[in-house]
Amino acid sequence: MRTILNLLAFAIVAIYLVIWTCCYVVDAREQAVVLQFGNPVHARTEPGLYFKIPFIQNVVKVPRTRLFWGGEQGDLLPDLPTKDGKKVELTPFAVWRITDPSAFARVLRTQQTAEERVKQFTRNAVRDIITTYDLIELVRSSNRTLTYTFGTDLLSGEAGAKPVEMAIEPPPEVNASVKVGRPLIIKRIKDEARSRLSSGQEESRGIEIVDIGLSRVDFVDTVRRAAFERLRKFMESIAAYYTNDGERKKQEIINRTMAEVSRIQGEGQQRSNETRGKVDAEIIRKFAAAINETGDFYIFLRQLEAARTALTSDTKLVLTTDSPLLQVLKSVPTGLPGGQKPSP
Amino acid sequence: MAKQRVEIPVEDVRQGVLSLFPMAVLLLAAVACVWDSAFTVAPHEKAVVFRLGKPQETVGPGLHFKVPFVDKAVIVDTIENEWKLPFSISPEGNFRSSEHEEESVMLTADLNAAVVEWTIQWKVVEPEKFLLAIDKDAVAPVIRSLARGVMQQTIGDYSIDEVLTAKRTEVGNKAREALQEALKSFDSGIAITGLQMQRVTPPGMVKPAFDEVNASVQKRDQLINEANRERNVLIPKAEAEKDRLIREAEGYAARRRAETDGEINALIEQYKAYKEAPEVTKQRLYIETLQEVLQASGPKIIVDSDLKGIVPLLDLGGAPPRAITSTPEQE
Repeated sequence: MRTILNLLAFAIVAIYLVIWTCCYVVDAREQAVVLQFGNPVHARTEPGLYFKIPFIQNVVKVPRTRLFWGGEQGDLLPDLPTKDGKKVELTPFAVWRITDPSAFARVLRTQQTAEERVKQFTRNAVRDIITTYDLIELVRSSNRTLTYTFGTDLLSGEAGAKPVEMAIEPPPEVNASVKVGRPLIIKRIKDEARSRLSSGQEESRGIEIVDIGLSRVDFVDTVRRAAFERLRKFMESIAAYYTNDGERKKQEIINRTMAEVSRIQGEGQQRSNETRGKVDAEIIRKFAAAINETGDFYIFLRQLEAARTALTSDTKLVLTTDSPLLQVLKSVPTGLPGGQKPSP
Repeated sequence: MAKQRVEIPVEDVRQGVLSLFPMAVLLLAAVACVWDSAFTVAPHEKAVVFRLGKPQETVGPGLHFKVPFVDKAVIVDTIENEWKLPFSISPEGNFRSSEHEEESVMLTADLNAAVVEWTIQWKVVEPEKFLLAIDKDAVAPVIRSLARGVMQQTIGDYSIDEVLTAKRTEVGNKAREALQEALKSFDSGIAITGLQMQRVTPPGMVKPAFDEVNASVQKRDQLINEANRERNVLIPKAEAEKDRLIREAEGYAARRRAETDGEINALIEQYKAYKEAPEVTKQRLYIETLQEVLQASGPKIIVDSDLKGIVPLLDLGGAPPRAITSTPEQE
């Protein structure tokens, strides 16, 4: 019993030692290179259980997954001039992987040196490509038309507010047409970095750049200040436009109102005059009819009336006794019923 | 006596240890086998089982068994993560809030700049792909850098105005699609479950001017409202004035018509009476009127019709009274 137990225990320990020194498992997330006296002899890129010669060979494992470099403040590329002379700063990043563990072990050995290489190639490619394009090419991706409503539709609830018209002069870049665009520039940087990384020496470095990106594109400090200043002026001009536009619209409404007021009052005056004129005409017609009917009698009455009103207290009269009324002063009137017309 | 007592146990212990060693090894092996044959997965996790390094299966929450030493279970957290961007993440995985505005400043299509902040939610949907695609230390910086790059690219195609106001949501949607696309190109097994634009403002230096724009838009509306209010006062007033003019004219017409009718009727009546004795009436009216006239009029000079040539002697016109009044002054 004791012997069996002893044998079993011995067997377990022995198997463990054999496995520990002769076998190794390569995970799907990693790959391995077998070094014999420091020289890579096998690369294991597929997962599985593998054997090695104990003590003579040793195994170095490297990631098979994608690795990352960059994207941090410290990786910033400062003061990079674009083709049109604008100074920008960029924060590039790269995603890379180890494709050939043997070559990797021979040439670069550690992940740190590999990352350093990725960094150098990426930065150089970014620098070289960026400087051959205008800034606008690096910023824009398409030629979509930009609009400027300044939220009038949101702020005032005015449905379908039209974009601000020519009153505001948009920055000259607005209608600049982009020939290449950011996605393509980044692709060119990537292609450039990849091809440089894979060439330049007889032996492959065993790594490849999967992707390159720019996590930040910005003006350098002084240019940024100028850009902010320009934006401030731009916005101020927009504010001025709206204020003046408001005054103008107000004046327009008031002018229109005044015109309408005049028209309304004119209409009133017109109707009034028409009504008055109509009744006056009617009166003229009625009088004419009445006078035609009454003949001279009306004229006579009017003459008397006129005399009554025309001769007032400050009228000085020189009369002769020929006057019918004053005939009595001289003699007894001859014949009362005289066809004599009255003479004032 | 004490020495003797010590010597005997030393022998016993050596004997005991030698006999116990195989037992201990067996026990250890047994415990390790049992220990390594089961694992539990929490509700918010999934596990990928690797058999001799090859991914075998993905299992959900609960207690699971595996072949000890041959299988390896890797737990993957599938909880939905929320990140505030573009702030960097410290090595401990905590958010480092940035005091420097520059980090969130992005260039717009018209080469202006906006301060853009947004949040993303992401989670692992395919744990196996996730484990194989990106190194576990690289996951966070890859997502963050891609998210920032994609946002910068999207913002770079919109005007400052669109970014600040009307097109915020559109920008967010586009950025989300682009980010998802970028992660898909790595076969990463990560899904972007949400992206929201948060604070999007002009840079601090420009903010007052931007606020001024908003204020001016409101001012404009206010001015227009003022004008409309004035209009609403003036138009009814004018209408009232118009009505007044028309009504007055109508009143005038009615009055004149009535007056005239009365006058004419009176005339006709008078004429009828007059026609009965025209000559006499005429004489009477004439004399009555003359009487009234002479009564009302001023100074009168009556000249006998037989006297001739007296007229030139008379001082006619307004001169004499003035001469009379001025005479005393001259004297």
